[in-house]
Amino acid sequence: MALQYNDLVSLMNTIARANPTAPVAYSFNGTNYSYQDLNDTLRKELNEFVGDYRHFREHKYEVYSLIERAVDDVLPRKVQENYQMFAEVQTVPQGDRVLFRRKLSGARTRAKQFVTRVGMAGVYEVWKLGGEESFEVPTSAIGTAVQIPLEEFLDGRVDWAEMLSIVMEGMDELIYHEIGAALRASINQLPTNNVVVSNDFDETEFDRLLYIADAYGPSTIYCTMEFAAKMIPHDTWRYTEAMKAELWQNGRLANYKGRNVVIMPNGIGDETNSRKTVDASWCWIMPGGNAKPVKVVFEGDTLTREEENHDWSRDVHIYKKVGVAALMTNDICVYRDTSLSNMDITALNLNAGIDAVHTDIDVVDSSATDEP
Amino acid sequence: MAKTRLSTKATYVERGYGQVEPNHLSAQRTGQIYAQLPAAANIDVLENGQFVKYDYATGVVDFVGAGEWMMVFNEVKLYRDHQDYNDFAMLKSDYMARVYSPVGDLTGTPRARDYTGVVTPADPYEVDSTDDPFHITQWEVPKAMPEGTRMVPRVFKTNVGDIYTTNCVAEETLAVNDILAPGADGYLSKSGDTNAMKWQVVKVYTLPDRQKAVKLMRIA
Repeated sequence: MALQYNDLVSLMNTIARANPTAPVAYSFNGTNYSYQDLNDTLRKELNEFVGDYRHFREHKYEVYSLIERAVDDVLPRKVQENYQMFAEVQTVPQGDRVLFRRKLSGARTRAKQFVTRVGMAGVYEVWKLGGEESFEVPTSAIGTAVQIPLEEFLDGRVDWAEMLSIVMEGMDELIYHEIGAALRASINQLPTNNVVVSNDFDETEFDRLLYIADAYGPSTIYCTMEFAAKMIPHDTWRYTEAMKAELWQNGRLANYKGRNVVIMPNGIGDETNSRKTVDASWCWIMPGGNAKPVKVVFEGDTLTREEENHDWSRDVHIYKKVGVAALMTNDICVYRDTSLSNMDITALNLNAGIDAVHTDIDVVDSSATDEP
Repeated sequence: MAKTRLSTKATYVERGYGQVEPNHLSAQRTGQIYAQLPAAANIDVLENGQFVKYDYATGVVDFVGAGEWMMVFNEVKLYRDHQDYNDFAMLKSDYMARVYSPVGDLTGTPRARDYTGVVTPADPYEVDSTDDPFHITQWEVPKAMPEGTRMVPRVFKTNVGDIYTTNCVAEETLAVNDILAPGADGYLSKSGDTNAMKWQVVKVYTLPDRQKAVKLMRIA
């Protein structure tokens, strides 16, 4: 056995940080390793670590501890790295909750009404600071269980690295979708002026949102590639040669009227290529320096438990407590191009929630010609 | 100020919500513990000791549905130092969940594709080698929580012979030999559905926090 427990922890952390698409994911002692190389090494080492019944009995608690550490060390970091544009991630000890605070909405404006024309050397009315409002992010458990039959294990058909990878990916993806759902569900926290729903890209309305967000600081546009591809001037005379070249090369403009466009990753949601993983119709405009609207909280350690059954099989149960909340502020704007909503989510109940939210919002008519 | 009953229906409770002391519950040995269905949207509170149906067909825990009544027995999660065990009940307002699973329903009609020319004749050791491999469709879009649901309780299958102590009963007075059964709201009472199950009061005494309680044994 080449690697010991601590080496395995390091290897798992390295894999978690590695870029799966880069030709060289990791270099060590002058040798380059691809992501696949790293995974193969982990698979081989883990299977050696607990490769037979005797070794398994000897090392099983180390393996479970390895799984717990991997999830605890890697998952919050992955969530932070993948969703850093939207999400603030915190890990708190068991039994703790996070209290997010923000300045009380409207208190600043209220205070300003006390700034008046005054007579010199008078006694002026006093005012007090509005203080802060606080939000708790409730956590609940996400988890799973996998069964390991004895003979399959002895035959070497149990792939520990694959099992861990599925658990990590599953949890990561669940949190990713929860973040998306939380963002969409929180739209009713926004002023109606900050939301536009249209069945196409409406430059005028989009620019109006941009100016709202810009009023609070230089804004950045977050959207999917599908959305960015439509986010181009409608009038051909406005294209420079450079823009034409950029559009041809990249399929989109990296910059929209001076604001950076950040592409959110998307994928295909099924093997027939008929559904998108993420609803492409949403675009978020956020000013720089804005507090990240999504709060993700991990509470306590990941917990694993092995249950040995009477047929000598083993069930491995895993769960972790996580909470996701979205707190919108009035400097965030949202544009939705429903023509891009090609993700069949009706059956998933997400659309129902979105529609319910939008009944409270004045949907801007895309044919409106008001200049911003 | 004296602490009062928080449970609106378990009138045997003196302080806080209903509680359970699991004196001898078979589920803790048999593993018949279920915790992967959300509570129905119209359920705002689930107290330990309440009974529910684990309605897998509908995809929610509810007071209606097929199957046997299961006992709610959640982990007690308290976040403030001044709270006691009796402060815990699963309250909908304490939870938020929108996505149930990162992968959605295994439904849909995949497009038929002809693979007969790829492997002919069929390779018996390969799954459907001349068939459409896409019939094993795996949606990778998320499955949302059912509309309006937010919390996922843990419920225990009970068996004849199970014994536990509780105050989660919709009665004000109880005596040894009273027979209790879950009512339509999931609370044990003397007027509950005894055709479904019967819990006999075997002792009238206290919970660990000295509130009045009864020890129950399932007899049918």
